[in-house]
Amino acid sequence: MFNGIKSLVGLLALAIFGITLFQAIIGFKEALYPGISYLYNWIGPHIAPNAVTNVVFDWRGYDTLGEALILVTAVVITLLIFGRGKVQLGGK
Amino acid sequence: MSTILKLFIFPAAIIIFCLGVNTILGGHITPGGGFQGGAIIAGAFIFGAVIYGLKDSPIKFSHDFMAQMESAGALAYVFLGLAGLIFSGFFLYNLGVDLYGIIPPFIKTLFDYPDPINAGIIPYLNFVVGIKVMVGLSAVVIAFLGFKGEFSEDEEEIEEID
Amino acid sequence: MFYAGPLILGFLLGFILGSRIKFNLSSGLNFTTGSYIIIFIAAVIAAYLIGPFPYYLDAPLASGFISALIGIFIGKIVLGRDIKENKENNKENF
Repeated sequence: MFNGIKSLVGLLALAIFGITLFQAIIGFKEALYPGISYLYNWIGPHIAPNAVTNVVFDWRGYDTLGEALILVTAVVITLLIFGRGKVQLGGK
Repeated sequence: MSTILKLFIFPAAIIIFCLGVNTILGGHITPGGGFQGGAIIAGAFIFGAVIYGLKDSPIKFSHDFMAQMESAGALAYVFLGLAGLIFSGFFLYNLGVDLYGIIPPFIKTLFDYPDPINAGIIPYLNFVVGIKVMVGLSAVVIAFLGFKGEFSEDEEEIEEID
Repeated sequence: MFYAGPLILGFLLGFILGSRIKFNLSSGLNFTTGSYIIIFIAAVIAAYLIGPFPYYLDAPLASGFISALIGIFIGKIVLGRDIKENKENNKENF
């Protein structure tokens, strides 16, 4: 008997979740608004001729900081694994 | 390695260094920038390290140099962002190109790159990232070239078969 | 050659790279002064053929290229040392 109630509750939860997801997808195009990107596409060529550098270093400069942090982490981990004899880390 | 290679590689490495610097400096006009130019400079160093060997190569990156340059590069990027935070209210604000018009003019001329193109702090960010990438890639290759692990045992076994 | 940005930043980067050129005297490598003159001439020809950046109106060659080359040479002369052999080995030979 409890198996039947469990499957009923599971079916109800799945129905609610599915209806919520599909309700967000219907009418998605009218909900999109580019926002300030129209303004930056107009101002961009006045800053520098290279649109890629404009976006990477000026409009999304914070993401480039994260990219640099990834490079530092990769180099540190590689030197930890392959650096036996070249780096004295202390200990025994 | 043969004699022709040893005669040719050191001048070629110098010219490839200069090409990498040219790529870094033109990041806001031409294709290129910090990451790409740093990879070119690292390629020149790896050229010398493969042909001459790590000990005889004229271009030497010591461990202290690589640690200092990598830290300096990442820290300079953060300090440029903090300067933007102090003088205006925004982190990594482009202080040379004042989009919102909120900073006094002497700070704007201080941080602008002297250039016919008003690019602001973008060339300085390219320079800093270029230093970081060239040292980071060279460190990985030095760790691989100096690794003496399991490969030497296989060579001994092959000699015994002959 | 008159815009201060590429000159200063290119010279700085070339100086950092030039300070790392050190010859190991125990290997057979020896580059004479004439070879450095040939390197300079070849680099000037390369800079002329690469051409300036767009919107730069000062000189008909790439200014970052030349300033990096000068930075490398000055960095090698000022801060680059040659690695000599151990002095104990020299005393044993005598």
